[in-house]
Amino acid sequence: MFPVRYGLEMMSVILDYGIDSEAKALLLLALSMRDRNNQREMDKVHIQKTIKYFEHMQQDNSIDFSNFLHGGVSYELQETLETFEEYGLVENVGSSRYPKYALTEEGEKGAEELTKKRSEEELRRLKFAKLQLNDLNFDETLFFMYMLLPATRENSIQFERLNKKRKILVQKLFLKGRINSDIASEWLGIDKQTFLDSLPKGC
Amino acid sequence: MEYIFDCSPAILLFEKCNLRKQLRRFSENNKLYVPLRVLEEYKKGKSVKPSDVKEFQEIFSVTNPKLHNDLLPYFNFRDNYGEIWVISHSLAHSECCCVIDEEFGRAIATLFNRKLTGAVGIIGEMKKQGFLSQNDLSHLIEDVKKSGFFISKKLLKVLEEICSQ
Repeated sequence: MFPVRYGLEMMSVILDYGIDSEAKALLLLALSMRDRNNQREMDKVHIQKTIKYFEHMQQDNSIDFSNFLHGGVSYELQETLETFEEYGLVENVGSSRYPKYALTEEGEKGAEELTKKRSEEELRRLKFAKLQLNDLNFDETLFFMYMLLPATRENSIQFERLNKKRKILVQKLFLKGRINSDIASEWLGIDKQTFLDSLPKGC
Repeated sequence: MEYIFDCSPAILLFEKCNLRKQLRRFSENNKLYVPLRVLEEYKKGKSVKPSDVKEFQEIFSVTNPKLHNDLLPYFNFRDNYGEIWVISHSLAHSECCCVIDEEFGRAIATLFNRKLTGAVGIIGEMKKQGFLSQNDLSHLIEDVKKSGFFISKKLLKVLEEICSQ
């Protein structure tokens, strides 16, 4: 270990594991944050969508996303996840059939270092993206992203199916606080009062 | 205390619960604001008359805050929602409490560490400051239920507690 005064950094997870890309940094940071259920673990879909949402908020295209069968997906992120699992920065805390990923102790250290290098606003946006999506089910998550980013419907094998359930999905997203009544009525093409009147009573 | 109201709590209290006189007295002790965007939405109401708009503006001071650009990504880069103006105002006036009912806007206000309450919180405060009579309170739950605004079961329970104490 070299003291900082010699211009060399102390032991660093970032340097040791070569966390040198936006995909690597955002993956660790996203996994370090808590969702509305106070959970930190994420499945593959929520990792992809949360980071896509963050990139949209940042108006940044550092990570290459393509519009595939389930909307915006990044192979770079998928590869990073596999690499981090091999490195022991991330572990599967779900099952082999339904994997869910969490940071290991080493991964936590990396996330702590990265947090110090990011602005308050960047961290808030990533947190927001996770709060918006991570506790939604598969259909709610995909539908939300298709509505937020219509271009991601290209090549989708899910949008047509989800669009048939549009009314109920919009109501659920509103009741869960992921959209306001203005957005909900826009997505349904009705006026706000008609939307509010359509909500099930006693929720 | 200073409050800045989003559209639904302002309309709920002023129009649907018809607490105009009580709000007027409350506004003498507290500063009540609405962003211009909220006034514009209120004016669009089908049954709103010019005299209603005048009374609304006598109770709520209309403010035209500078949009806080950091908020835009949270609203999908659109500025036509009441909440974005409410939170923008409170970011410029940290003593001012946001009055937002819908969970979406509340979550964003919380992320930005804003003071936050909703229509039910205002009713509680009006009661505490002595601006709501027992007679007012006895009608409130029914008025809120009939208002057409969404209010969760949990929040309705809080309102029932306020009205019954």
